[in-house]
Amino acid sequence: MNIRFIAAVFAVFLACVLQFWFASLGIAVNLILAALIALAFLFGIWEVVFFTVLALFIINWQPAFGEEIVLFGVLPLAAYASHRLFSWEAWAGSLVAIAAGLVITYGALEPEIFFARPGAFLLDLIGSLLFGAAVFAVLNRRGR
Amino acid sequence: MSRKPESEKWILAGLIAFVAVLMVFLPSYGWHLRDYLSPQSHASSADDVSLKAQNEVLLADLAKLQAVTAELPAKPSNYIRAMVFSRYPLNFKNQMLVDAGANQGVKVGAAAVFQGVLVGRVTTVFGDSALVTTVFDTSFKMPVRIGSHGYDGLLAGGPYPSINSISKDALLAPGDIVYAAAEGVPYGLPVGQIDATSTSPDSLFENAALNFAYDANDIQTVFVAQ
Repeated sequence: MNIRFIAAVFAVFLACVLQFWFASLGIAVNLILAALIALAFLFGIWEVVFFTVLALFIINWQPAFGEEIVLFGVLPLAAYASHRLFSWEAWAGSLVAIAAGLVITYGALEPEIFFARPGAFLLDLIGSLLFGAAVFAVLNRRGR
Repeated sequence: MSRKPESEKWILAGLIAFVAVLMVFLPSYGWHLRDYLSPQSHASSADDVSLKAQNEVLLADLAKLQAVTAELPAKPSNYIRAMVFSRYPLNFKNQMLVDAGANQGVKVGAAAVFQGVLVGRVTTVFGDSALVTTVFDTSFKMPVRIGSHGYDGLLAGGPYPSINSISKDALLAPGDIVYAAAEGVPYGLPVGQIDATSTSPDSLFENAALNFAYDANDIQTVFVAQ
């Protein structure tokens, strides 16, 4: 455990606070997913599992596991696997993975948004990419 | 990435196991944690919300008395108060978990009422809790009636709920009360008020946007029909 690990935990909590705050204003952004995917490009598998389980513990809203929880559990691990398998440049890979994660999430949970409210999806995409990039930039610098 | 010391791996494994056990066996700790991380509701607006809701209830009562008194069944009295445990945290649904479930007699389809106004219906029941899908969920659909003439319409939920399939002959006005006319929900339960009307894209029906007397994010307790 080091300062970088603690900073990553803080980033997960910050993503939760910001996402819930934006939601209370009627603005939908998936900052938690973006943070988890960005962290998947910066940490080892067990840290990624811990961040993911921590985030799921906070966002699970019922005494059962819904499809959203399964997706949020799988996507960061898939991002980690893609990073290891394809040896992408981490910063570019994390942005591509965040975008892909959002497309998969919306495609699985609310595919009609692509046609009915494309602006809402684009807003989420831009917000999530910015937040994911910020998390990556801060923690990547701390790791060097 | 450097190799970790064995002790660090065990600490990490312990942390993962600890949080996973909490998530599976004591999920309410996660709901409390989320409460701390979420913005607090605005208590100062509570009186305003209450007055608006009472106004909707009175308008609905008036509409019922004017047009549908003969059809009214006895008002059901068996509601139970339920606290809102947690809310759906993402932007794909609008649900809340309440602390009354099968053990308290809650059934799927039961109405959830806040300040006398229908806010949603129970869609999943657990032992001591139940999920209420609110009128702000895109999957929410329910037959309703409008105003003192009792025009029929279909409430379509979503971020901006609307009433669809209203007859083109309907004489609607902003402020007209919308009330439930669905199986399993007490007839005449107010839902909201007409905000504005428009013609459907195929020009066959009228549509109406709705005003609500409450903010769903501020709801702390509801009454659930048993």
